[in-house]
Amino acid sequence: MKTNTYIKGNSLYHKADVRAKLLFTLLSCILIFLDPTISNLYCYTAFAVLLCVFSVGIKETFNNIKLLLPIVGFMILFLPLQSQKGEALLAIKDFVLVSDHALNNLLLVANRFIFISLITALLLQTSTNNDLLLGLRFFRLPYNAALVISLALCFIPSIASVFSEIRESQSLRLPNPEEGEESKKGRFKKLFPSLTAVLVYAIKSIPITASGLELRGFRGKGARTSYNKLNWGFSTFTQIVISVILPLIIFTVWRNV
Amino acid sequence: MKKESVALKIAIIAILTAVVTVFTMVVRIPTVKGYLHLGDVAICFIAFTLGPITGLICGGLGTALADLIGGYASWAVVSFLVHGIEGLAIGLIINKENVKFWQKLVAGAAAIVIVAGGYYLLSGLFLTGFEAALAEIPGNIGQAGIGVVLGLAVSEAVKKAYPPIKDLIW
Amino acid sequence: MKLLEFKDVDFSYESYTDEKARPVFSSVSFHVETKENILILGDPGVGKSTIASISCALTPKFASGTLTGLASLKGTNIEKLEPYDLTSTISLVPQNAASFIITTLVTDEIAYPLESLCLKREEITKRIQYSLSFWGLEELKEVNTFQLSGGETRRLMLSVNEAINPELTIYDESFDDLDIFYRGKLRDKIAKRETSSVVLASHFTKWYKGLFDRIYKFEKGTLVETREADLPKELESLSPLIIKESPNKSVFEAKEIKYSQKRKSTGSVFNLSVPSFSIESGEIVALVGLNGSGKSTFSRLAVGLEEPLSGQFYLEGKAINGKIRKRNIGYFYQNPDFQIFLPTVKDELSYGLSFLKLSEEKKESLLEETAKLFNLKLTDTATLLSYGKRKTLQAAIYYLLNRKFYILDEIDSALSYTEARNIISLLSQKGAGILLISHDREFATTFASKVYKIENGVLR
Repeated sequence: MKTNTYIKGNSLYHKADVRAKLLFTLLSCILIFLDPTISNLYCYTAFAVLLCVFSVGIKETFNNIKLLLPIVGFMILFLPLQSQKGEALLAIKDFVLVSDHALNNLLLVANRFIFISLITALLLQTSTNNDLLLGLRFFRLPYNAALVISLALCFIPSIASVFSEIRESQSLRLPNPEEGEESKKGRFKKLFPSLTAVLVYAIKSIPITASGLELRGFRGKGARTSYNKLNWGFSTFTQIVISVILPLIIFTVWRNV
Repeated sequence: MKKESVALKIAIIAILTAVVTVFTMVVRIPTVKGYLHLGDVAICFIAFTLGPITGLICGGLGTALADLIGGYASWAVVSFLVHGIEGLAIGLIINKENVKFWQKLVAGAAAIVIVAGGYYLLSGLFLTGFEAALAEIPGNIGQAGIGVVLGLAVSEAVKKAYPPIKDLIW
Repeated sequence: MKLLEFKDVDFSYESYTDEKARPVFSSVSFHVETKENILILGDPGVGKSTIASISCALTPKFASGTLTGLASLKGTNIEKLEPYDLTSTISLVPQNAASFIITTLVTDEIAYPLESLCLKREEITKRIQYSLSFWGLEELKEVNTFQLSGGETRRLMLSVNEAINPELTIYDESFDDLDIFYRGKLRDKIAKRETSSVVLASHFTKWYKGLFDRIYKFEKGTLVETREADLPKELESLSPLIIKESPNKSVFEAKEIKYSQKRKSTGSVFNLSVPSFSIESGEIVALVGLNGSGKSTFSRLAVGLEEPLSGQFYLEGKAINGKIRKRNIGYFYQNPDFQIFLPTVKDELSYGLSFLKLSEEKKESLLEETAKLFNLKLTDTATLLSYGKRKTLQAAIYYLLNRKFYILDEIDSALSYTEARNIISLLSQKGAGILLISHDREFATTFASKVYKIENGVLR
């Protein structure tokens, strides 16, 4: 199980400083709620798609959008529910399937939703986990919190693989490993021991991990040096300024134009 | 564990968060929102055996991480709030050694209300709109319900299999 | 100066059942001076790792128990010390190499303790570079810690120790997962005596000859000092196994098997080819090979967890698929904890029995008999047994399952030769064929009538 959402690349967005990207993403997602104009929203979404394509390629962008399609599908499916108000655009006899109000609402919500999803996915795909944590720490995320997150990321693949090995080995210790594979109840019964075993495994790892942390010098508070760091240069400063100003301009000033 | 250890607290939270994430991502049944998962089993287990604070942090962080890694990044904040509060609530309702049956019912009901209601409210407001959010409700109810039942069962099993677990309660 | 000293130390773990505490050892005394090497020998489960974690102030902090007597580090009572103050004084290379991993990248893992010691970035970079090249991990610099193989993880732990360079290092069975080349390197490093070393081991191997200033041995729950010359030759003292001729002979064969796998850490492809392999009931066959040569891969194929790309497995001459292989071959996972999840030993043993329709009395007597054979106590909490006892429990579980063949993967790493022999003999008494996998050639060949070797991806 990979905890890596990072996709290697050389785009401008990849090279941008992670702190700038964090600010840009956060501000964009918040500010987009200010604008109820459909045409502007189309522009924002198009911008997000283009940014994705230029940063991670068409295939990846398509993959990102693919995940959202079922949800948009459901939004379309539920159109009739909103179609009480407004003029009917599509109707079967007396029953209004789609009204212009509903359609408007749908486009608004869908555009916003796609924009937010793409922008956040892009952030994760163009920055490594380490960089993201360093960026968050720059914004005053406490060291201990960052340690928790990085430890969790460390354990996710290991617990996942242990879980699948446990499931395998549990199936081997039954007298007749074929039994119970077909019936749903049998499969469930086989799952329960695995769940228990993996939880015991996880719990047992806790004091051992704490031992490792302390033996390698973790105190809970106190000074530490840092091997990894984010570089700070003039271009970084410029990027951060841009990442703040750009969303502000686009979402507040431009919309009034 | 006699002495106070920050490292131990960090290890507890980190590893159990990882457990929630794995349970959320490994066993899945695809539906509207994305999938139904066993994350709630893990959250209920953590809340039952280790208390409300652990339940809050691990439940919230674990599901948020699962969303971020899985490609559903927009749900991260929503999941964090919903499942965090779920963990907190269950942990607060059930926090004594001998749990009575009615307490389990209340905890189950609370979990269902928080998860189904929380997702409906927050998805509706910020993500998909209220109408489409309706579609998630049945799934979420089932997931939360199964979560409490299985979580309780697993919690009993693990406590019996590995008694030292009681040392980890904050 | 005495770096580490134990004076009359007793230790017992807290018991979580109604019985009194679980005693580990009593009246243990030893000491290590600066730039000295000592060896502590003892069967698995006797308390070596406990000594290690007490020395690092990790027990009883993280594993509840009672300690009496005096354990001191550089003259200070260890019970008054905190582990994080000891980073540059004492380091532990744990028996389970993966257990101390706390970061995702190889370089971060080595950097972590150096950051705790507040070293400057240039110094950290220098030490990382040196340690990685010493232990041959440079190519794996950017790899996730999770993707490393067993041997690579061991070397990573050794690299961390190398970078810290503490005054005293405790090596808990560290020679185990290493290849001959790196065992030599470790031996040379210890011999140099730039820092002190405590090596914990279950068997005295040729790598230890002449390496230590003092040797201690566990005997009857306490530690005695001994000399190299006085060490018994354990393997030779074991009586040979008497195999009962079983009336129903089964033959399991593999012909022309080919399989391919991508290595997780380097991404290179590993090919395994098995021209011909066979094992009969009652036979003990050994499979030896270096770490990473494919022994576990072959086991997984044989048991039915994977299917070969080409070739066939046969039972009594008939070609069989994975499902049938799973029914007939018992695979001892290296980590016994994967299969243990019930409260007591009795629960674990009867879990498999529930599928057979036995009367209560028959079940009880079968359980009693099995527990006695394997030296287990039915009321013990399964998850809290020592590692060696958990492996024994695993053996007992399989014993009750009555498989036709068993694959024992590295059984000697958790048990004394005597205990391992006991398990092998018990399993084969029922007429089963046993495939012994080990990288300890001596052990494997002592019992086996046939030896297969994996070299360069070919098993013959």
